Amino acid sequence: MNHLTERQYSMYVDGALEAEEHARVSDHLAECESCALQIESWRNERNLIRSSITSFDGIQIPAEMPRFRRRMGLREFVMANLVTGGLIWVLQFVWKTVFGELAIELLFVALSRFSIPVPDGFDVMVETGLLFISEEGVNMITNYVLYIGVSAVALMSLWIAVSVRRARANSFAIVSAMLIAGSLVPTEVQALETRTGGALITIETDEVIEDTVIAAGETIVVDGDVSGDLLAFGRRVVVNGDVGGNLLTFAESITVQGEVEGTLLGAGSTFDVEASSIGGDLWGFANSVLISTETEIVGNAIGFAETFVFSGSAGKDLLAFSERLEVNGEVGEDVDAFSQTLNFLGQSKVIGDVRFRGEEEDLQKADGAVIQGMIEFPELPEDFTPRNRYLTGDYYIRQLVRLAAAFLAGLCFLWLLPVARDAELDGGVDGLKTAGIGLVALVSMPIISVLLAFTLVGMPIAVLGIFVWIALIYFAKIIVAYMVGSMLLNVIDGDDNLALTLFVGLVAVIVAVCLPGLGGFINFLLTIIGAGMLVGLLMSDALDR
Amino acid sequence: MATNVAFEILYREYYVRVFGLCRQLLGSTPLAEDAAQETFMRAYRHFDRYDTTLPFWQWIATIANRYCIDVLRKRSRSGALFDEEQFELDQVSSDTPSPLIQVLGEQDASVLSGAISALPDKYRVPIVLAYFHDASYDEIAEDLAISRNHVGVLLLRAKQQLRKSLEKGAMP
Repeated sequence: MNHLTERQYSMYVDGALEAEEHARVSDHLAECESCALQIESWRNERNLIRSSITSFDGIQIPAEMPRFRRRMGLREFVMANLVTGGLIWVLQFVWKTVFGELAIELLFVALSRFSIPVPDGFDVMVETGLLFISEEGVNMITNYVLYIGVSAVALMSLWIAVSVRRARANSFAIVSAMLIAGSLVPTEVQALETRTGGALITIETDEVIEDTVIAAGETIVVDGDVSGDLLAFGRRVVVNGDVGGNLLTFAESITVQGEVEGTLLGAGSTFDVEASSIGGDLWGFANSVLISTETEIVGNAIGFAETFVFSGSAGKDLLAFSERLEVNGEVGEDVDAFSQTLNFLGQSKVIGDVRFRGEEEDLQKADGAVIQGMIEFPELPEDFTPRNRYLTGDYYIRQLVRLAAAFLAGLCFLWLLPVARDAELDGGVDGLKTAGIGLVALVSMPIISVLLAFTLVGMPIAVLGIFVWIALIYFAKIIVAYMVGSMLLNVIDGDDNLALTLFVGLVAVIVAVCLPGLGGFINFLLTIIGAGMLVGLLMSDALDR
Repeated sequence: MATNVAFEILYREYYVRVFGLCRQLLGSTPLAEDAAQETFMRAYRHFDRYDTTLPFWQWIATIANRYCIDVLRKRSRSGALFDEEQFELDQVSSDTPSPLIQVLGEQDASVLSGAISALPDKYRVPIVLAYFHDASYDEIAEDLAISRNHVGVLLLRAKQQLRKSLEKGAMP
């Protein structure tokens, strides 16, 4: 072998030669004295460089400790915005109900009850002042929400602009920023008016309320107009005025005579709609649902009732799940009846087809009744036997859409909550515990929310709770999917490709959930495990802080 | 703020070493001050990503390396610090200067330290990574985005350059 090159000397003393070359050089050094001497001086030189390079002469720790502060990242910013928005929403609701309604009332009840002597004009002054505060307070908060929203959008656009100019932003960042900006655009804050208590709550004829109204009481009579939505809970609800939004009522007996621009939903024992016009759909859940002659429904009429009498007119379909269905009005499209008996009286007119899931002899048609389409009798058993879903193309397209949606939602979720990436499932008893926690969370949350909804002040929290619950069910599977993905890809820490891991996991989970027979059970299991992991993670994260 | 206290302890313990590493990588004390601060700031911000099973030094040194290499890349306008086209032949040349140990003799080690600081970026960075941070050739190759062989050549060139500059300096 020839003498060594400088590269070999240098790399040999650094221990950086490949094993084979290293062995060759070692062999050569054993027999060549001059090269051995050379290597010795290269080694000394390396040590010399090393010792002089690792000198810390003249370095001192600065007297002033830098202030270690976490700079708010985009993620924290978005989170802070979402939380602020939610808080403001709750606060506004509480302000309106507690302060605007109850506090002022209580003050005056107290003043008169204890006959506290007040100077002339004091009550007027106080009332004006308090009203001002309650009104202005709401305005103030509304403006604050607007401010946050607008500033968020402005900052976000700035960020996008800067990122694009730097050409550093990838498409994902832009898409997510747009989504965030979109979700932060301030929605019109609906003011809310609540009326509670007492045997009788009335909204007078000449009264016009420009808000959404929630009314709860024994008897509720609405003669005036409500421009927003109207939610009424009571024993007896009578709505004679017009409702600009949706009308939702839950009462033993419900009578609606006014005009409803949106959807009308009534649930109770008797539900009567008389001479009213409904801009959207009508949903009736009651023992008896009665839609009288002069009622006009632009959308569908849907009834779940023992007795369903439909004499009005519907722009679209009439759908009935009832024991007895009587039609004496006009239906713009089809009639679909799941009922024991179906009577078409003399005034009825159906533009589309009639499908009656019952015995042919139970359908009666008066002479004057007009049915322009076909009358079909689809047999119940046949229709209720599910076709083999695995043989339809639709099924696979749906799964693909589901995958895409879960992927996008999961990306946002894991980006916003990086702690969710650390989810791990312990084996054995701990794993069971996680599933148990998940099950408890999934069962208890809707129950608590419903209970909260009964106290009107708790309503926004209840609504929030239901949203969180739905989110929990959805994201539970995503978090499991991410965990499965990292197991499949053998990702140890969270540094590996987030998107790829999530995608692989989601594919695996969706395939498992779609397995015939077992799929439903797997779905349930994954949901409670995921929910348990999520709850556990959030709890431990909160405890850490 | 428990993490703050813990981090301040780490700061006190590692500041000198991080500063030393940055000073050698950047070849400048004022730049190293900024770099050390920035390194600790970055470490603080991403402290949740620190794998506690690894030595802290290894982790923070990697942060310092990346930051300093970024600074050097930005400084050299082209951005290509360790261009492959500068791949030199690694044959023994006839005028190879004698090893440092002979040139330097009994001289002060600070002379060598100064010579290292004066090396051009492309030689200084690999030598600091190799002998200060104790990075392997593979790690250096990855950090600088060059081939392993190129690392070997750069290190050899760095040593030759050191010899040359010290030989010149040693002659009156």
